[in-house]
Amino acid sequence: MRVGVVVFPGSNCDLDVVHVVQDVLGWSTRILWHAETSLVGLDLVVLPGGFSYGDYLRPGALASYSPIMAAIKNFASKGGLVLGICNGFQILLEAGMLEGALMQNRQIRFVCKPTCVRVDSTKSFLTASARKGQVLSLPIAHHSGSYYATKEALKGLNDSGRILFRYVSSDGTQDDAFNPNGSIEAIAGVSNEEGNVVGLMPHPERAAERLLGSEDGLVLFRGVLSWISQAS
Amino acid sequence: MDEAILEEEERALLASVLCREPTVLEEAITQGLWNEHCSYKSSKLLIERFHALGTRLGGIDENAGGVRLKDGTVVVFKMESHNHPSFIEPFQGAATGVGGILRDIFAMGARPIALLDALFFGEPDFGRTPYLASRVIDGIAWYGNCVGVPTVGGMFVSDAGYNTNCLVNVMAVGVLEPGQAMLSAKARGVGNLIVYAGQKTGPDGIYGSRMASKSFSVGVEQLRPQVQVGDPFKGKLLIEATLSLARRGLALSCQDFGASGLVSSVFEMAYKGNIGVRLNLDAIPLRMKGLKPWEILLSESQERMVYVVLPENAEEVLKVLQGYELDAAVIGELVQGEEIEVFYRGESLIRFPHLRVLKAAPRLNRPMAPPLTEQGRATGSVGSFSAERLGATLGRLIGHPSVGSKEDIYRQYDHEVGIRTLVPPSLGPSILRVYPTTKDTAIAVVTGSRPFLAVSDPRGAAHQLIAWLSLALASSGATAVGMTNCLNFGTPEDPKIMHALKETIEGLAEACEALGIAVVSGNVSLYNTTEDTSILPTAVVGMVGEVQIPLEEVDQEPILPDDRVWVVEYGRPVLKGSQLNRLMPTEWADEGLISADFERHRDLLALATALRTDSVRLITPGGGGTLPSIVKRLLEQAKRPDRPVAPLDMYGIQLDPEFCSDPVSCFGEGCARFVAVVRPSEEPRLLKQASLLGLKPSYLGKVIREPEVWLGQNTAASMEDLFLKYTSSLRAFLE
Repeated sequence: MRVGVVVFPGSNCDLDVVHVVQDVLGWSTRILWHAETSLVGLDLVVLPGGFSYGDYLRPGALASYSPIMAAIKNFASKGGLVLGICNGFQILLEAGMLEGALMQNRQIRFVCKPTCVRVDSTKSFLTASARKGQVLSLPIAHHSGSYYATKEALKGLNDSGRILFRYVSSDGTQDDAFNPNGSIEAIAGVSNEEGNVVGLMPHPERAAERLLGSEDGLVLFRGVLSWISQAS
Repeated sequence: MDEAILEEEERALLASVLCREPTVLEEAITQGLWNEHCSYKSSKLLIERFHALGTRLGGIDENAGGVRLKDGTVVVFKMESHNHPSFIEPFQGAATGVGGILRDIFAMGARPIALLDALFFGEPDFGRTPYLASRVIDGIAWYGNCVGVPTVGGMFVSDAGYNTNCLVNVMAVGVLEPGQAMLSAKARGVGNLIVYAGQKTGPDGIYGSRMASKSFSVGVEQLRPQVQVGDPFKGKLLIEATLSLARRGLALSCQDFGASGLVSSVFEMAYKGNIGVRLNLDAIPLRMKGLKPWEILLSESQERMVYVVLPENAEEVLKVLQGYELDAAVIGELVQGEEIEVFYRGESLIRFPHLRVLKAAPRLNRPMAPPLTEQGRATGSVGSFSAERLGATLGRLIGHPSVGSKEDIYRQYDHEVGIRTLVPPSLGPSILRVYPTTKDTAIAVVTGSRPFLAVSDPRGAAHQLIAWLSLALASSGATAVGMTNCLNFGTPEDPKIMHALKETIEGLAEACEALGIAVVSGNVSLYNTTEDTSILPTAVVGMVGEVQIPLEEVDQEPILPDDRVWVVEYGRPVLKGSQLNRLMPTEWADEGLISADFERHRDLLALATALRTDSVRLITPGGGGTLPSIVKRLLEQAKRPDRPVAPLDMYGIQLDPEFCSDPVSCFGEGCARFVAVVRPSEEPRLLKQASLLGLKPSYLGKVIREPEVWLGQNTAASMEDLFLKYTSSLRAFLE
């Protein structure tokens, strides 16, 4: 498995993703500066969390015009796997690679806490190893994580199984009390039609070691392996 | 620049150094070097006491200091105040405080891995207090979250003593890459070049250091132009760029621009390296046209660094910096001689004898006087508790903003970025693994302060503070290895305040010496005074411990029904200086004052470490005293709707009437006690281990399934009620 981790100016979860991919999963990694344009030889490109360009203008807005984004769009169109975590999700939305938008949390404050998310679709590389309905413990840390999409868009997302994760209780119940940021339909992550481009607000890389309190993130990373073996 | 720059006496001193009358520009530069904030003129003679301890890594005149852990890991840390700017403009004041302390850490070549904040505000119903508190927290969150360094702990105090001056102290912790040397702030090597990087220079915060060297009068909002504006995005780029230069050995020395801007950075680097400089103001990246040379020299624009580099490396250094999309330029050269020659518009503007001027910097031996002995307000006897009264007192304390839950604050901070945080902020020290890939090195970090005790006994309070924090670390499985401090005091012209400062420094030094804790760095913040009111003498200590137990065990096991709660101590706590005494001084007071007994304290630390190694659950009581600390642990571990992970029922506690009807036992504060929670079967072992060190534990009570606090058979409080008080304690500040 060959993974590229993109570093935009202001990314700050890049080394965390590298650690998990390289040291925990044992996959080979390459750090990609946002000015690079070659993704040759990679299976997966990760856009990590952070504050690319200081969140100036809108989170992800400036980074979506970085030189590497054209290469990533091209890579994705050929079936390459693209994962956006937190700010990476924001960038993918700004780049038009996923549907919807992320707004400020409804409490208008940054929130860092553990959450439970339910896997609502396994039709993506990130959820390929998970069970539908499985509840994962993953932390969030963001200021603009309130997902929004129009009614029509939501219908499309629901109908085609592109809503991957929803915030729920530990037993899988969906209720406003467990929605940490006011996301519509408690959506925490979505994919594109093909399932090879995924964005989510929770941080699977912060939940990939028992020492950190949860290994549930590994279920997601390992989906990459199932997806690729199914494809080949 | 037409008002008098230097006070008359200092102007005369400068004239005697120069052997002539100073020019206005010379005066302005000298002001930048000699003001209290930069020169520590009132405290320098006193803090030499710390320097004499000599157990830190890194010289005393470097940006920060450090300690070496057993496996060779070097941890660098420092605490700094941003009190004055935060009182004027809380959001940017606090944010730039975070940025500034981070620069001190990475200027040493160390990667910042943790931030902690010690915040002191007035009462929630006093004037601007809620605004100050919520905006300070917003500012810390904004900068820390964006820059990607986790905020893992700290403290929050609300008290009338801070109504007219808030305190914002920020601590940063960093680590050096294995095998990498610390970067120095000393400019060395004639012919080497000075490289500038970071934000462009603008007319920001000129004379900011001077503002922080004065007390406030009313109308502080008018001082807003003296507060700088931070850019955490640039800060993040500067971290990565500087660490890249350090890793590749391209920076020979390094210094951030702090208070007084170029004057403090370049002039002091050259002074420390005993070398001259040719400084070219025309090369400095400017944000706007028309800046006067003295404005360029004294600008406090944020996120700027200077590096000393070999001439042959200059091109590569600029390439690295520009690769991080930073403005960068060669702005000067190190030369032989005793002067800094500043060029502006191609011409020599001034030749400033920085070596002589800095050497002559005033060191004041200010008058000191002990305070008048406080008349005993105490009733002598505090009586004993009924269940009802105990419950009411417990409720009042646990709902107090200084004692209650801090979750509403730390949820706003990313405390996980970097994936080092093993024990997140909640109660007691937070624990971080140093390198995610090196599994067996971890540190515990904690902050604390005892201002209510320091009012009457600053030296004793300092002893207790160090002893208490070291015990808190031991209870987390760590051994205290080093501390940093921020000494926040009022106006130094007041002999009583100077006396308290001296006593505090002596006390901290004595305790650290006795317990083998290195004093690695520190900060003194004076003039925390508005009109005639000064803050309480507030020494904040940030302590770092080396974790001694396997990382799999740093999370303490939950407390369960039928567990037995024992108190282990060599000296009883006292009400004097406690939170309870502070709230109800006439009702709850005693004359008692225990001084820390360092020899016995070492035994207590050894016992705590041994018990923790055996997975005994330990609590070191903090603010509010023993009972609130135990109840907080039960509340924290209980299931709650917004916390889907690790659900446990809410348990209660049955208190032993003999031990707990004494208010001092429940709510007194000290440094000589910890609480051990054991299964009934483990009790004999606990008693035996304690007796080996001559300690006799006292039985405090047992954990019960009913969510209530019982005093014997009588209900004192409901845990649900305490939970509501605990979790809403900050509401008045943050809503």
